[in-house]
Amino acid sequence: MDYLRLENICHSYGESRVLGNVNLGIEKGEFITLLGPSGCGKTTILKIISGLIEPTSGRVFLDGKDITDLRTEKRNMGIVFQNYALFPNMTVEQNVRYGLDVKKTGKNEAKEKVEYFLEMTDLLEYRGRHVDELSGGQQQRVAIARALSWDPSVLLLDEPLSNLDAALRMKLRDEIRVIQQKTGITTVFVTHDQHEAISVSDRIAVMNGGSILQFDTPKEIYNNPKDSFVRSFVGASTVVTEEEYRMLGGKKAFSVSPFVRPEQLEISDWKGTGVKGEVLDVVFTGAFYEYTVLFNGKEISVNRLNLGGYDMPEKGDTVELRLRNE
Amino acid sequence: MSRRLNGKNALRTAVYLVLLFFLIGYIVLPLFNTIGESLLIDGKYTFKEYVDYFTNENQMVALKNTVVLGILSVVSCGIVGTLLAYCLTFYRFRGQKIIHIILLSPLMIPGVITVITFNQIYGESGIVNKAIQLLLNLKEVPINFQGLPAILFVIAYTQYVYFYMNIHIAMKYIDQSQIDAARSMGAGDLRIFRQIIWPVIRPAFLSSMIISFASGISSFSAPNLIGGGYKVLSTQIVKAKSLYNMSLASVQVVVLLVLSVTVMMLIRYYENKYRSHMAVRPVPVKKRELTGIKGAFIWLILTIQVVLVVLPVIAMVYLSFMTTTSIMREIFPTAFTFENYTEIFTDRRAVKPMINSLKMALIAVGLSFIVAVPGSYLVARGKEKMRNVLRLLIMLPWCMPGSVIGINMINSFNKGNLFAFGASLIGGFMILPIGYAIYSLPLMFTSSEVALNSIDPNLEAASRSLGAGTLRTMFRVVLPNIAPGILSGGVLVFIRSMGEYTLSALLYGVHNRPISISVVTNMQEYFIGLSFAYGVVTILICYIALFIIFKVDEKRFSL
Repeated sequence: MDYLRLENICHSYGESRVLGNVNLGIEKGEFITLLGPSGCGKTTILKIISGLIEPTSGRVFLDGKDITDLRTEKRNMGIVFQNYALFPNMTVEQNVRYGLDVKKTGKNEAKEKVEYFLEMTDLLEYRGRHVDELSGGQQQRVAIARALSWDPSVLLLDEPLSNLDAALRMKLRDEIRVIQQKTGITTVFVTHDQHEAISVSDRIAVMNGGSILQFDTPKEIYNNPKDSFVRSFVGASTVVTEEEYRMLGGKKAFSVSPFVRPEQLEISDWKGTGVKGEVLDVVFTGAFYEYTVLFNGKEISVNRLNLGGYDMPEKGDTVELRLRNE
Repeated sequence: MSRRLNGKNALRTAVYLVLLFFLIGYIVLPLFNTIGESLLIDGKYTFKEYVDYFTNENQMVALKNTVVLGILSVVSCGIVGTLLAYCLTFYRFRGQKIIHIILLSPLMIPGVITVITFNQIYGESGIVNKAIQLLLNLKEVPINFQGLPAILFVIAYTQYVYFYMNIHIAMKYIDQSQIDAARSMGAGDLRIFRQIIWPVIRPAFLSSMIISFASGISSFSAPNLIGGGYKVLSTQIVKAKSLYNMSLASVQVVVLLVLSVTVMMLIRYYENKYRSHMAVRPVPVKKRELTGIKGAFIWLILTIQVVLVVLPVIAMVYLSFMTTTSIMREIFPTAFTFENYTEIFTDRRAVKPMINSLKMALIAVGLSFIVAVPGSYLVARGKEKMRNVLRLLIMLPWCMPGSVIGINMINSFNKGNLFAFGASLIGGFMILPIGYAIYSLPLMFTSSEVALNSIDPNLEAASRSLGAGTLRTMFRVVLPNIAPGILSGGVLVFIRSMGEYTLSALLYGVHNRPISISVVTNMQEYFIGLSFAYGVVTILICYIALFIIFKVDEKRFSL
């Protein structure tokens, strides 16, 4: 049975409709991601789960109980806000203790818990600092420790990495996944970054225009999108006709119009065995050569792994294209 | 309305009702009582009092004088304040920080004390006046420190601070890179001022205009003490009240209020029309050194201003150590004594006003705090409709000069009043602190509102998500984070209340005679040394308070 379930959730702000009939079931201990462009309603769903927003209609269930009418403070959720919302008047330790104090946890138990989570987030040495003396990455970890410390039923993360630079983002992304696995907490993660979503999630709900278009494992979302928006939003792709797909050597059946991804195509010098294309452009990115090839009057993106050689097709060359089949 | 929000709504509604009870009982109804009083003659409503008023030549002179004073206040304060802000923003010189603090300090000196000290310096037998007479061997004293010029001098000196402070802050948002960009495209100084600097400081300039005009038309201590027959509305109101002519006083109050509201709305209109678009991250302006003729000129302006500001304080401290006989007989008094201080600290009757003022100022801070802080919270986070009503009611006293509030209170609390739980407050101790609190309510409210708007609303969401209820969120998260703003607002309210004179003159009684009244009456009864000792103690208390603001709210007051 689903641990957390949204049933027929609709939400409007005045005239404008933000969510239209959202249904979502999440299993206990699962890490799911709400992925979509800004304004698609993903943060609204998070706020409805946490009780910060009351849905216009629909119900929210946690562990079989209807919690729709429960106030935020009674829902036992751990939220990590996009801007962290750490209490500036408190130290790191006081921030992390806050939820435990509210619950009137015993002194020793609270101390133990605070230390456990500070340790897990690598913050023990900063416990006495005020939060404004910390770096962005550290603040973000305080926010996670604070959300986890009081044993929430669900951890909600609202674009927690968006304020960090690229390198830190990757590091913290992995840390979040490790912490989630260690604690086994049911987690809902909101992001607009497909790489983040794919690398941390058990399942991803891809959203657009206030609806969930597909809710599936990252592999299914990538390999077998059920919707043209999902196909175009996750990963690069070129849409082709059924006939072109067969010409390129494809054998799969599609639930949307056929498409090819750059890394699934093979490019080589013209030997007369595949289909013919002309190189329009090539960009060297280090690990890959990114080709734009004109095939059958259509520009197709193709990636070729850089294996260290120098003898690559160049702009203007005629090349051979073929799908690599598993 | 949702079921789950019920508990919270009950608390919210209760707070609304309590606030509305006090706002209506102490601000709105008293205003209506005054309007009623102005129309009521022998139990009948008539415009007769207004007709009499507008056909009385004397009254029309006072009205005209009031308007003139308001306009000239804006002009003089605007020139002085803007010029000083410009000097401190665009030039670099030694001791800049100290000069900045000195320039802000007239804010801390109650107007009535300034007036008295100025009179002792520049007045008929004043030190400066006599000194110039001796020096140049003149037959008569050179300065006639009376009438409109004297009033204007005092106002320009005490009220320029608002222009200075607001424009100084606004000038921090002038973007040097925009100036450089304009210059690289060939713009001259004038164009740069008009197109880059002026739009940035315009909102501050307009809001300072409102404050200056309001303080000009409501000024009471200067026209009253050194006006020399220059009648204005506020002095006429106090006079009418002292003659027990409450209907005339009420008519004048209505006229003053209409004048004040009209001008404020007019300026507000322009303020809204010219909302400024601030640079996202302004590069601070490059400060220039003071060199050449321009530098010398700026030095001169700064020196004059600093002398003008510091001289009265020094004079007051000096005179407070002189015997009254010496002050009255000698041009440069030299008979040193501690008597004045021993008297105000040991004579029980003399200590009383200081204790009264301290007590009343603290109560006023407390009262304004109780209304303004929950009020600002409900305005910042509440439902749209109620928000506007509440804001309007709390900000209403902003356009009420002290004399207006005073007369409103008299008209409402001279008999048992439902909102005072059946008591009549006039003649009692609480009437003054309540008056001070009403007078300062908008100031407290604005401080608290600014502080609230600068904290992240997600903090409250975070607190609630961690299981905290409304009260815990309030006391553990919201209040600690807005405390610096509230505290600095509280200190400003305290300082204003410590030396308040207009309301005090209208409402004080035997039980709550405040320090400002003692300063004036001692002066009038020729206990001049004593009067200055009171002044020095008041200023000392205010400076201690100022020091506290600097510490808690460094951002707003720092250079």
